[in-house]
Amino acid sequence: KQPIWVAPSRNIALTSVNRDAPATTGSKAVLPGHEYYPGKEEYSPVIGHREIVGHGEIPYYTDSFTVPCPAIRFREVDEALGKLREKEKGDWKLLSLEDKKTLYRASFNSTLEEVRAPSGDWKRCIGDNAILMALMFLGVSVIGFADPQYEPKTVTNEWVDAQTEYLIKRRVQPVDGIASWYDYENNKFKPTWSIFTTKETSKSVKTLSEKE
Amino acid sequence: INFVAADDGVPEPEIIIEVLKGCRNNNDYALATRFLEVVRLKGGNKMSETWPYIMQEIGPTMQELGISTLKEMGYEEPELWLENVDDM
Repeated sequence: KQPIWVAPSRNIALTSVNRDAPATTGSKAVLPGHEYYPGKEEYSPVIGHREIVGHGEIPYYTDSFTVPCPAIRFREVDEALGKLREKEKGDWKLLSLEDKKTLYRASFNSTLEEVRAPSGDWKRCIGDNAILMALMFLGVSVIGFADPQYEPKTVTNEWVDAQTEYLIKRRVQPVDGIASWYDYENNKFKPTWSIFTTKETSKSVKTLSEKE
Repeated sequence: INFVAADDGVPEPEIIIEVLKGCRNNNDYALATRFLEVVRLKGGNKMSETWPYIMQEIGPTMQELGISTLKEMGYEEPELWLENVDDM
């Protein structure tokens, strides 16, 4: 039989054992019937002593609803588990509830219901985003408002005054906007314009009313 | 079983019975419970209609083989559910 997945070189396999270490349960005794199974030598550096149960797949354990039965069991074999397996070969009515649960947990890490259960990951996402937004606002406030050299020229009062003069002469937005707030007969702004003025802009209002 | 799970529908009771007998022949009890969980969750939003029907159909075979129902095992709800610390 040719292996489907070629085992990597020895150095890489040895490091991957520590990272992909399965839930070891102590002794590494092997069941009498399971001393050899196909693929043991090739995959044992990565898997350990877990049994390969499926065929035609790469033996990697996953918990998911789309691939419910992976090709390897989850836990390695112990002495107690070996006895349970012998019991399993007999009548299943003799198994107690605890036996059945240990058998399940030996083959699978979590039940499918647990796969569907909410994980609470959204809290981390929102929290990280909030931290980043806070840092952004901090940076803007520290850097943006520090030096008038860095503010654009369109923010200065000279520019704004020239802009308002131009807009009023062109009579833009006569219905809802700036031209509707300007009284063209008397050449001054209507009283509602005072909302938008500060002490500095009031100078430009006077100049506009004087010019026209 | 993975191919049955990939299909877009709940399997017929005859298929389920055959799968359970195959589990019995291979002496694998955990696989049978896993398959029953898959069958239950295949119903999706209509689990409350499909699952009792399926349990009616396969109840006798399950009692013959000695497989206990998911409710007895307590696997209809998450059993060992703890939020993963990395996900909080």
